Amino acid sequence: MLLKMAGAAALAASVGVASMDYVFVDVKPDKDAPRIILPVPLLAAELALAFVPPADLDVPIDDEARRYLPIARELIGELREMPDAEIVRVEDGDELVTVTKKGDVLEVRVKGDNERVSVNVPLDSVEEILKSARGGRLDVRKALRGLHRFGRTDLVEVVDGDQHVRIYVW
Amino acid sequence: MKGFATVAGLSILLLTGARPASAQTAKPWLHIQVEEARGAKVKVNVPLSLVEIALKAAPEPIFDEKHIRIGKHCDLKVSDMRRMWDELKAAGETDFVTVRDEDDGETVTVSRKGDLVQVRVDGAKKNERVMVDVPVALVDALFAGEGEQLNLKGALAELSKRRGDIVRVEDKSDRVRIWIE
Repeated sequence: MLLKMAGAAALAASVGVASMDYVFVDVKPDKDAPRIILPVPLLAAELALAFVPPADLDVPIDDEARRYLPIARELIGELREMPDAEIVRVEDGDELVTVTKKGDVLEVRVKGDNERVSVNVPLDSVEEILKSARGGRLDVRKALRGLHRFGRTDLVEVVDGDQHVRIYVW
Repeated sequence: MKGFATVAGLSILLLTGARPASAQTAKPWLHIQVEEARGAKVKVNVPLSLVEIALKAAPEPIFDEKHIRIGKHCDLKVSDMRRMWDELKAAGETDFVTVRDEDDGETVTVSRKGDLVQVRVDGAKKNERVMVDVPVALVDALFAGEGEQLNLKGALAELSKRRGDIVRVEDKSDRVRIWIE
């Protein structure tokens, strides 16, 4: 156990003190409900992985998903290379849906009568996570490292009437 | 004074980095625009290279390496279509098909004009107009495969050489435009 803890500490040092990122889950279920903010330190998640047997961190990917992985990698690469642009815009009555490539982020926005959805997909993080899936297996530790690349960003924000959910990295 | 304005204009053009259109659009983009009379609008702008990658995700029975397979239930075999195309191409610049429906007041023509195969639907009564321009080289590339396969990758490569409208559909309620820029 002591050895594992020492390993975890070494791992923490190797990922760097600078990567003290937190994923915040900020939820307000309705107008009168209390707001719940749940901070999840990414470093803690990595430390926790040190206690998981290595074999369990190497997850097999099913054949169907495996087929699409190289295509997904290529798509992300192409998206990163292309200049900034509004890729999709759908206007229907009061509803507006846009998908925009801005820098290294794919922004999805939905604006409705009483709702608003905002999703930001950091392309380099997705690329990193996809890289962790090679040879038909997903390396969970590498995938988690991809999350560190998110930087300080809003990942998801959903506002529906009085309900509010926000997930961001800080 | 006029000369000064011209020089000033040229300087601004150079300073702002303006380039000829051909130089600006090195990579071709596919644009799709749909407008419905009830107000809905759809716009899609993607590099053709992205379309090419996305097509690789087509289901296995349809897509195989560089070709598209037409399913078992397709009425017309690709090999038959290829033969028909070879014969139509040999006919040169002509109207291949003209269909007139007197009741609907609709005329459909498929013809070859220069290096384009043009499909036109003119429905005067329904206030409907369809224009499809397909480069001959694109159809050639599409049928460059063998047996019951279409060479989609080759067709996309040909498409990337083209600029301008490919499809235009207009009727009293909807408008669709697909073009490459």
